[in-house]
Amino acid sequence: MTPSSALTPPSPSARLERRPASLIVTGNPNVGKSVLFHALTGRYAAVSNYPGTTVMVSEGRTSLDGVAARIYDTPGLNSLAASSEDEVVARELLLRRQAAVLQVGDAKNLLRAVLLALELAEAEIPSVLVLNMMDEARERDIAIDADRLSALLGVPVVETIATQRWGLDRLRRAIPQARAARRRVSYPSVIEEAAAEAARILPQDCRAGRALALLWLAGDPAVIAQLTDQEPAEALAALTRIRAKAQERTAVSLSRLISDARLQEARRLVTQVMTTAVRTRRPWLERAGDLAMHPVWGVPVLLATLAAMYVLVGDLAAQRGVDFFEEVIFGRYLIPAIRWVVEGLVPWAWLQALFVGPYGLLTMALPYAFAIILPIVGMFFLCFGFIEDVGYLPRLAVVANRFCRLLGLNGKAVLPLVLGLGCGTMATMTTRILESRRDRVLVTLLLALGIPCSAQLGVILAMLAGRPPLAAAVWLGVVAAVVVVVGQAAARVLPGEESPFLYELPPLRRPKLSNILLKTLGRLEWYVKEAVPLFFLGTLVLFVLHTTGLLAVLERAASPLVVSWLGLPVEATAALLVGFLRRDFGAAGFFALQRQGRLSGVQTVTALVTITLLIPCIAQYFMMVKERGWRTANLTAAFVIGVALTVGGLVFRALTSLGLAV
Amino acid sequence: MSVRSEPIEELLELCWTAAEDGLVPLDRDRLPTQLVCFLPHPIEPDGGLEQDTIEAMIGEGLVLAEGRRIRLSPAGVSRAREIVRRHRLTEVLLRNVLQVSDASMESTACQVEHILNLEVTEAVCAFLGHPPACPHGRAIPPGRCCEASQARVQPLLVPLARLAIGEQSTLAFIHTKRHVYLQRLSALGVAPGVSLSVRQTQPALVIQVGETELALDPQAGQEIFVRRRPPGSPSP
Repeated sequence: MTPSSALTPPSPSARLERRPASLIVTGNPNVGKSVLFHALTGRYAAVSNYPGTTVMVSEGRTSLDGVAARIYDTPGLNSLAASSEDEVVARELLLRRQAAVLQVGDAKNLLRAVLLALELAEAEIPSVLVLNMMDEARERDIAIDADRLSALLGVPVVETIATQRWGLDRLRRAIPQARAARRRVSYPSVIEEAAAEAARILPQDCRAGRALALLWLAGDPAVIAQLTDQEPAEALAALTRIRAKAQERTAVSLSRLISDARLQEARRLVTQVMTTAVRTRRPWLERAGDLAMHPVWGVPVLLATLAAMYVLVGDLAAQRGVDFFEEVIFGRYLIPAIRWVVEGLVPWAWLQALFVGPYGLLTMALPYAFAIILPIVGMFFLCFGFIEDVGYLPRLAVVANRFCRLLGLNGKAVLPLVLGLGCGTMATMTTRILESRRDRVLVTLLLALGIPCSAQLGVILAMLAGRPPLAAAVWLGVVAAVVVVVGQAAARVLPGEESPFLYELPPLRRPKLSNILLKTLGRLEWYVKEAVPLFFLGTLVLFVLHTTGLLAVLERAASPLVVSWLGLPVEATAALLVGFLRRDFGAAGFFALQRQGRLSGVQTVTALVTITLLIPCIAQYFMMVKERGWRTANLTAAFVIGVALTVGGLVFRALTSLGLAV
Repeated sequence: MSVRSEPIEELLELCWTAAEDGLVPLDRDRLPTQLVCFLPHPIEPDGGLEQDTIEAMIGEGLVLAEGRRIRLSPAGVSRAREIVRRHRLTEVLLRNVLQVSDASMESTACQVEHILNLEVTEAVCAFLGHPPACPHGRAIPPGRCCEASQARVQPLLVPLARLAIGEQSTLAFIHTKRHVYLQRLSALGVAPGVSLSVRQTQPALVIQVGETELALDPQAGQEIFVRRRPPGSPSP
């Protein structure tokens, strides 16, 4: 990623956006920025109860005092000294855009909001401080004197409960009053003098001079890289000299002097405006949160969660739901009707086949997309949305910490891995919350290799549900073993240190049904828009291959691999082929084969292991290219295909020779 | 002796602290002015006196000189160890037991370090439970008393990892070389003086600071030092 500049003069297009009616929503992670963004713009941005939901900037529009304004929702950050990619993006936007800032803070964590507010003050960014989640602060008997805080900081302070839309009118009225905070941290003289000297060297049109100078002194890697790129050599040398000279004058690292002074100032402010009462007992939600990450009880909680999802997704949706849609709705009514219409309207047999043949758009793509996959992913999205909304995922990261260390990763990496169970493409993007390139590459690889996405997982669960429990055990054991072995090996091969682990655990919250439904609908909309066209494309490809006879050629060519090595029926070639377009499309092909009674137990397990490990869908592949670059993405893809086919064949042989009844 | 012992001791302390940060040998014409711990603690820049002191120290064999570069001799190291030990123990006493403010902690420690004798120093050290580091996170050189009584006394200051689950404590200092980690902790409000409790240690270390719950790596459990608080006592 190339951080764009806070220093270069704004380009003409940026100048257009210099109108004051432009607003950036920022603040600590998981304080409700996206909820507020949604409330102000009506544009839904994904909302979950864990830090790191928003990894990219989204843009929306609203009107303030009748004036149209753009609003940007940004990833959370605790300090302008950003460490992960998503934080760097947020920081760049703050320092570059001439926009007002809506700083959202968690009222019950006032100190952290004030810490960030003091940094925004140094950057002279006009802002409004929003104290959100006032309900949770009140539940904890925390009282805040917002007027006093506003007077002390010098910016408007508004109390809100964004999820209940409480305080939003006051917020809208306060936004035009946004101004840069007056309150300044007084640093030790070493820092003050060096910062003033450094700020003089930095370009004049940069309003954030002092903030940048302080980041430079603190040795912020992103700012150093950026200034090294853009500053003339002599200015850079002067800046380096200033920092070295300052460091010579003190035995304590400059970064520590800076953060210490800032923290002292923030504490001084907070003690003046906040009062807390001692709590005698913890509310039940907090105790439930403890249970969910308890070293012993955390495991049954996880198993119960998985069991509930198995029942809902694997049984209710994948068996009953699919039966109903495929056999009743499609089998009994829709398909015969479609056949009748097409055969009545289209005189040519080959064109009829395009719509209603064995690889017909309306008889294959349509039921695959809507009768098989849609009920399964719909239910999965609903379950997953519920888990996200409650705030279980960060606790899962704690429980899975040990497993993650086995993979050479720390607990934070579990979040993208778990999100990969939702959608590998989105999860690949979420690797931005990880701090080292090593971790990002490693997680991207594991996502491509061993983490089935929701659509695929649903179908896998459905196929396993029809087999004895041993089948599920073999599938899970093999996939987990491959992930651990590859993770271990890659962790050793990849250069770089394990990154330190520091992850915030938000409180468990009562799930909000409207948010879950909204999010599920959003995901289903995405599914219909992004995935369904690929189903039709894949079917079209198969139709062309079939009609031209190429499919038979391909099946023959792949037969040593598919039939001899993997031990699958020859029709599986088509399923493997379209699996490259969409993971679930491939899975659906196998599902259909199984329902027709064409797969034995051994073949089912072999097929499941192979498609679970096999190459991610085309969207995830392109996301890998976008996030990691062509070279890494192609290497990863080639590696994954090799491993999947090798392991698949081995599983087939092992199961056959052991004679296991799976 | 033409130079009093106090300036000598200040310079010994400065050389020790500089050596901890790898700033040796020191340029005697450009001594760091804000040393000792990390609060401003300037040595009066009256260059003449400083140079006389250094000459006297060279004369006494406390300091080795190579041109204008100076470093502690073995004899200087052992004297510096005592004075640094007294200074930092005093800081711990003032901050964690008497809970005086940072500014008076510094100024008092600077005076007290020159008058404590060995017996009193060991008594203070034992009283504090042989603390490993000062409130600024710098190591306190261990004395003989520390080795003798290792782990026999329940110390007041312990690394986070030794805290029982649910036990209340106050963060005393963070001793780490991981600057970025320290910065991030600081941005989360985790710094000396905050109330802190351990929620669980397995499968990951989870602490509660105010209303923030954080999962940390095991290394942090060794780097964060806390002062134990008896149950029921109010937070500072």
